[in-house]
Amino acid sequence: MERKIYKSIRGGRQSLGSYLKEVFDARNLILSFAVRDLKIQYAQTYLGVFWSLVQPLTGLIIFNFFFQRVIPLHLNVPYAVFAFTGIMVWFYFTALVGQGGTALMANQALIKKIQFPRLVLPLSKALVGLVEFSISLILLLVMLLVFGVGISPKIVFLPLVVIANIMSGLSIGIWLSALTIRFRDLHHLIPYLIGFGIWLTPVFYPTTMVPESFSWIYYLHPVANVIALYRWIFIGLPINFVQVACSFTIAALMLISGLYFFVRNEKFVADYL
Amino acid sequence: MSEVMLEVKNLSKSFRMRENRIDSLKGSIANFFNSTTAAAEDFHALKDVSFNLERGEALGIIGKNGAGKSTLLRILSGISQPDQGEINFYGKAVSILDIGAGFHPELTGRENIYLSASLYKFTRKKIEERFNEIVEFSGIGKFIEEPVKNYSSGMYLRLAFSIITCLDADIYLIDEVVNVGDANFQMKCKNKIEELIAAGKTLLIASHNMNEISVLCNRIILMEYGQIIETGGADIIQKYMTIALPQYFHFEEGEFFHIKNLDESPFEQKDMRLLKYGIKDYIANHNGISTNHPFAIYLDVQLFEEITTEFRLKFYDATGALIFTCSSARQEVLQINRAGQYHVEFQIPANLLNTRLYSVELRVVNDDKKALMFKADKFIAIKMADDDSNTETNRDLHLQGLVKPLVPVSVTKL
Repeated sequence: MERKIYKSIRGGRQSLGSYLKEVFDARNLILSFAVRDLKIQYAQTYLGVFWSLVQPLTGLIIFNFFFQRVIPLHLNVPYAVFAFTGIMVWFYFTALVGQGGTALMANQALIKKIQFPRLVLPLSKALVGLVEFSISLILLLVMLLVFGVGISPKIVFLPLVVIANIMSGLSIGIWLSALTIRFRDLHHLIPYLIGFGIWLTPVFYPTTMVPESFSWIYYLHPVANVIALYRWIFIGLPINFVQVACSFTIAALMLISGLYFFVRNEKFVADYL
Repeated sequence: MSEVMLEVKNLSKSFRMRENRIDSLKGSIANFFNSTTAAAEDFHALKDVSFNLERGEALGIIGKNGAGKSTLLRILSGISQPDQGEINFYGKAVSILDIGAGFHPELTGRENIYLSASLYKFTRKKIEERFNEIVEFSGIGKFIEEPVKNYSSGMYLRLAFSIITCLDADIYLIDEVVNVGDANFQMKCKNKIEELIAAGKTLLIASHNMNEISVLCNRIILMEYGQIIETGGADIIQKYMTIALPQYFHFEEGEFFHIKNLDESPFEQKDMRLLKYGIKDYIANHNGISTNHPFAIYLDVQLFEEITTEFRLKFYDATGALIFTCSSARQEVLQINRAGQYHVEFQIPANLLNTRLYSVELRVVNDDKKALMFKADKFIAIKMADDDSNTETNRDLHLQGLVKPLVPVSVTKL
């Protein structure tokens, strides 16, 4: 009589499909890790999760001072709203890349002792970031009302843009988290990537100020287009959908290849730690 | 009928040695341009390991550090990937490589229970069903709502162990975790494991605690250099000790005891001199010195001063547990208190020692000053075995223990 095999372990590679199913089965765990991280960060503080607003708000104050008083930028929308849209996306992106990229390294002890699909770790970081991002989003909505910009019906596209936002951040975060295990050097590279990336991204300046000869960058730059989409939704700035399509294709390719790379390396993560 | 719960077939795993591993970008780039780099030397952590585990079995895995026990458990747990081979589980398995591995100090006991349980792939519903049982077994009580960073280390361990054992699985893979906590908690763990065995669960335990292995496990695998070198019952432990401590328990072909040359002893002989010493009157069978016959350990000594001298022999088992001490001063025998030569003989009765390896320590004590005159560790190593005719019966009777005295039993028909 053939008996049911509960689980099998063999050498060799796992298909991406069966791996993603395993991740889906562990969705409970993604949630548990995210709740754990939020509790640890914000429990026992008076402001709680609103502490996540401190950094973007500080950024907003500085940018607002510089680009309204020191080097005034003239836009036909309130600068504060314009800048904050960029800042909130940028902070979420840095969380996806920074936190996601180091998620495996940060949980070494766990990885060596308990088996679970390791993709759960960067994904739970994405979820934590999403909670913080949502708080920023609420603040943005308040700002839109206060500055009299109002809320456009285009807000129905918001969920799609948020998904695009997460995907483009994760595409880099997943690559990094798998790579940092093998190549520890990258661990030191991540802060630079984040520190300099802000200058290449239209966070506090509009793309219209960038010389025509450099605008090709935005065909390759998913985060710039994520920001452009948010600005299109909330403050009605024009958007180049060819750029959006082009850069998101790149992000999608990065994400799929990143997942393949992650799955290939995940079985050896514990050996390399 | 036996029912296989776990099948391990031809498992192999090798690691690249640290020097040859490409851990940095520099190494990787260098490697990319320099294709002539010599093939990396591999360390074979596991070589062609195969075994089956049946329902209700408790399998112990023993071996020296680096024998491959932990690698095997890590592969069985799915943490590490085998290079070759196949593993089939016919039931849900949980692996306990470290107690409290999923705990976070900032979370409360309750939160950690839920987190750990989801790490071990149990559903929320299942945890809720068992929650009270876990809390009760751990004895944490009202502290369950406190962050575990405020727990004493004992409370922490109790909670961690309770989570694992209160969750239902068919197969438990355990790595050396019963040796934690205080005596009471260790007892509780051991009882729980015995309960699991009695409930027909299947266990695989890797441990260095031979006593625990011999009590809990009904089959033992001995590993060495990544391979299974022997499978069997409690007698495998004796075999293991000859590998782990070859300097003491390695006997010449056909010999079953080893007597140390005390002239090379670092301990100086004061006011006395050992002339001759050894074992006599023993009967050897095919496997060792017969446990069914008496034998004697004798010492011929020369005493130079007028000192009341006491001779002591301490019997240890192979793992180093002291079993008993015998002394020349305990009984009414000739006092050794004048200069001259003496013959001291310790008569070890039949049916006292079990079928094990033993080592004997000698101490010569100045009874006037209560000072040590001479000491020799493991001065005799000896392998005991039942006479062949009795071996089968003993195995059936499971006469476990450090000694095996023939206790008079009377039976009367009522």
